[in-house]
Amino acid sequence: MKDYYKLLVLLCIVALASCKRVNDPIGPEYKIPSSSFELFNNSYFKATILEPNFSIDPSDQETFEAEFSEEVTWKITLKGLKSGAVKTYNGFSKKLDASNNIWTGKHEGLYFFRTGEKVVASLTFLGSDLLYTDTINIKYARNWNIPGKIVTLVTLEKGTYSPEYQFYDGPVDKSNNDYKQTFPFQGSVYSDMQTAKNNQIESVLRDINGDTITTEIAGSIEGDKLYRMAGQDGIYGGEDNSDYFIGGTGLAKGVYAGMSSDPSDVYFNIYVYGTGDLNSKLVVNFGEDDNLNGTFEEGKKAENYAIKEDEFTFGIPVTWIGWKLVSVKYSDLTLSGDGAKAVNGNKKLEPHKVKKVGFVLLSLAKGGKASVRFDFATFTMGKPFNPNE
Amino acid sequence: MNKIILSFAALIIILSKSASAQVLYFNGLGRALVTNDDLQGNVNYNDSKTTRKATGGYSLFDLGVNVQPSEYLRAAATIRARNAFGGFYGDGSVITFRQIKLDGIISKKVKYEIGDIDLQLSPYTLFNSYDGYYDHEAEIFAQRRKIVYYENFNNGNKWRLQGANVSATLVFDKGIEKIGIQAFVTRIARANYFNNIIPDRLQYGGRVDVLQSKNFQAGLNYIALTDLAGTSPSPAVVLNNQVMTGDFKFNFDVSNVTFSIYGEGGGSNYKYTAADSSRSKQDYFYDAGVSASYKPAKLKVYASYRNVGADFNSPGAQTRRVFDYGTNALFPTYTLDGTSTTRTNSLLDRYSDDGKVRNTTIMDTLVQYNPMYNNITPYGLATPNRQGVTVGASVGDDEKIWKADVVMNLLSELRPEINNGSRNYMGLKGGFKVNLHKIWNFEKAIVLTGGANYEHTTRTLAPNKIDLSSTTIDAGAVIEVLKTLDVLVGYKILQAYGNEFYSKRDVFNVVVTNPVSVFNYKYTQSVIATGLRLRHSKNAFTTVQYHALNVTDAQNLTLDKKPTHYIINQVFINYTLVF
Repeated sequence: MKDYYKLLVLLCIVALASCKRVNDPIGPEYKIPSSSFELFNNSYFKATILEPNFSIDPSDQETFEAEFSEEVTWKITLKGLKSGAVKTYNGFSKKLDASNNIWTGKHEGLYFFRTGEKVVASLTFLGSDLLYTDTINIKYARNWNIPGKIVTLVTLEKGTYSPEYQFYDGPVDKSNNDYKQTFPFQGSVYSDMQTAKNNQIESVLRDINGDTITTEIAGSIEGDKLYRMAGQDGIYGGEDNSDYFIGGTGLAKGVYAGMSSDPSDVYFNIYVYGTGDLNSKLVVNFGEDDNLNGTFEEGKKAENYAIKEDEFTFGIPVTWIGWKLVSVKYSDLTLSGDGAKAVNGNKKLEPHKVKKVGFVLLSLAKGGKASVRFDFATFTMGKPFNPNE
Repeated sequence: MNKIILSFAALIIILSKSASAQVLYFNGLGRALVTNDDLQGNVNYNDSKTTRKATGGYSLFDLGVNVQPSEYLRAAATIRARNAFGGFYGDGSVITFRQIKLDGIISKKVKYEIGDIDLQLSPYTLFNSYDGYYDHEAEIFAQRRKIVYYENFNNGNKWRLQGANVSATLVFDKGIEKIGIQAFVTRIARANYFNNIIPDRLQYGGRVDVLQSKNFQAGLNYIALTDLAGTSPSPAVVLNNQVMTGDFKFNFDVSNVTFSIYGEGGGSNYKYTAADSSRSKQDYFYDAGVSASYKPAKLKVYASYRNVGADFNSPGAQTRRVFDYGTNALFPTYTLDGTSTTRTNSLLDRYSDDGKVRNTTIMDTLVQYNPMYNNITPYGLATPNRQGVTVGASVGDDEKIWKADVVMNLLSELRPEINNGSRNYMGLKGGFKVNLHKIWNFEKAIVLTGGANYEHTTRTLAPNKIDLSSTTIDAGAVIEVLKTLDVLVGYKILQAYGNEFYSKRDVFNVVVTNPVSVFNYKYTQSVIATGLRLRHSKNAFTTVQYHALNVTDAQNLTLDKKPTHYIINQVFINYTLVF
């Protein structure tokens, strides 16, 4: 019996030891520059386009060029001086050209490069203090609309709610900026959350107390401006309704061309900034034009706000601190309606019929103060938004 | 919070009322801890914003409530009340459940646990490895490390997980003495609806071990890490990793010497599908050794050889318990010539910081580590891409007069990271503990400890040569000056010199880009510590300590070409009661 055990174990060891493995390197090649390393052509490190335009189709393709005296591991770091946006390229080669670095305005991390922004390109080498730089100016930032893949909410129209309703739970004091609602409810067209109307879009962040936040992370994600909603539940307007609702705004209609009809293929993406106050909830509603008359028909006050077509929704407590990309698959949305208003469409998830996107700020506690900032909302087809792709 | 307090109070009342019909008992821990810190050196120069002083601390009380309605069932919960130093009710006070567990025996044969459970299999399947060599650490450091371990549920080499575990032992009359069977399932990650990346992730597995006799035993281990597709909005992110191993041990006695032949071998099967791409890989390992133990002298010598494939993937055994680049709780940044700089995790942080530098979650990728602390086996015995010999010896008994051990590792990479050669690793570590009072027949205890860990990493082919050496030395003493009063002293020093490259890995655990880090160490740090410990009872003590960390980093020079240099002076006061 014991011999069988020994034999079995020995066989296992021999079997494992005799297995062949590949012996290739596990990673890509790298090499530090030697002491005689130099950049040819008087240390030439230059961009091919001084003022690239990334908004056109096809986009300008920025390339940085240099030639080295030997193969080395290099790194190009592009940094926007205003946005803080960053893009990097790594490589192992003897020269820089379009074969190893082509930039079309994309970025890594949270922040987007901006129109008119200066960008410093830094060339460094593995294990070396050598540094070469060049500066370019972005003529126009990247246009993120990609037919069939990404639909950005580029056109914002006035909210579908009346101003009175919108301010029902609104600011404590209209003359005080502390809790003013800063999203647009008037005007006609807003472009990409950037063009302020009636000074209702803030270009800087404020914390829950209304104080200006000046740290870099508090800046907008994309462009110069972002949306801020802030307020206190149920103490403005002479009525103490304490219904959690603070305010909301509706965005656009008829701008979502190119949307897939498959709800499992469509994602809604939005960058949301939280202050960690644990009391704020952002709700996003999607109104569908079920009867295909070109508009999403909401209910009227006389009809108890019964929605005549479908409205789907999701809500997210904004409990984190800083920016975060939130992506939700359209098929995971639920029918809107809180009992006070009915939803009377065909109750099918049909993203290609979306005509309105609405943003609502709720307080998680009755009578509580809440705030949220958001920026760069998109629909993407097939997968969540990824700025690196 | 009020609901928690009310619920818990109601639970206590109900349990107390019914205590006559069942066994109800309490256990737990109370701790008060205060630190006062002072940062000095050539950092934060002319910086009025970054702090140079810090005071912190807390008092906490962990109350474990154990209810045993019968000898076959027990329910246990530990509630924690924690009050930040200087806080008061409603501002700084937190009440949470620290752990909840149900356990019992079914039909007098099958043990089960549900809830917060501690699990461990073999070193290549599920094993929470130590992040360094602490076998003979000075008591003044070890005492603080125990707090870190307690806070992070580092119970030996077990992982604290949430799930269910069942085990049973079958006893036989002849042929085989007994067979042990264990199976578990845990959830190690909860789906995060809004980040689209992480679905529910389960880890399950088990072990069957056969004890044929005292001369032979063998086991079969299996563990899997699986994502539940559909629990994440992003449909195509699925990890499925399986590891199966077998282990054995032969023992035979010749006079007073016990010889053993032991080993473990197995393989992993990894498949990960992300949004646009997928990756699968398989690899294997084997580890076999011999040992001889001479019982009268408690002397043991051993030697083993292991070969762990570069693609061997075993998250349960390769996950680190320390984030070398986590954010320190104490002075996380300082300014150097006007630039805010992250303060590198130091020796002081490693034995005193129980926060973001510690990891309690099984991770599916190999987390970056700092080579100066552990470059040979940063992911434990199961560190992939290693082959070579380990020899060692231990002698003595630390409960008697003395104990010492020494271990040498001579390892190398199985596959080179790049084309110009593999790394070679030489490691030598050892230490001792001497109970001097037993040698000198003193009534009061005098205990000396010492340990050292030397690592040398080389890669000889140009141009990317590597030559890194790091040495850690630890020495300490406990001197009982009065019947209940001890003087504690300790000293640690770490020196790292030379260069090393660190390559980045992607979500598939594959080295994909050029090195993200190049280290050129000229680094020395030391900690000197002294203190008093008043022992109120076997399970309660108060200690007052002073720790001075001194760091000199000649790799990062100031504008006037001087090494970065800082000192942290810390006063530490702690009261601990275990009941």
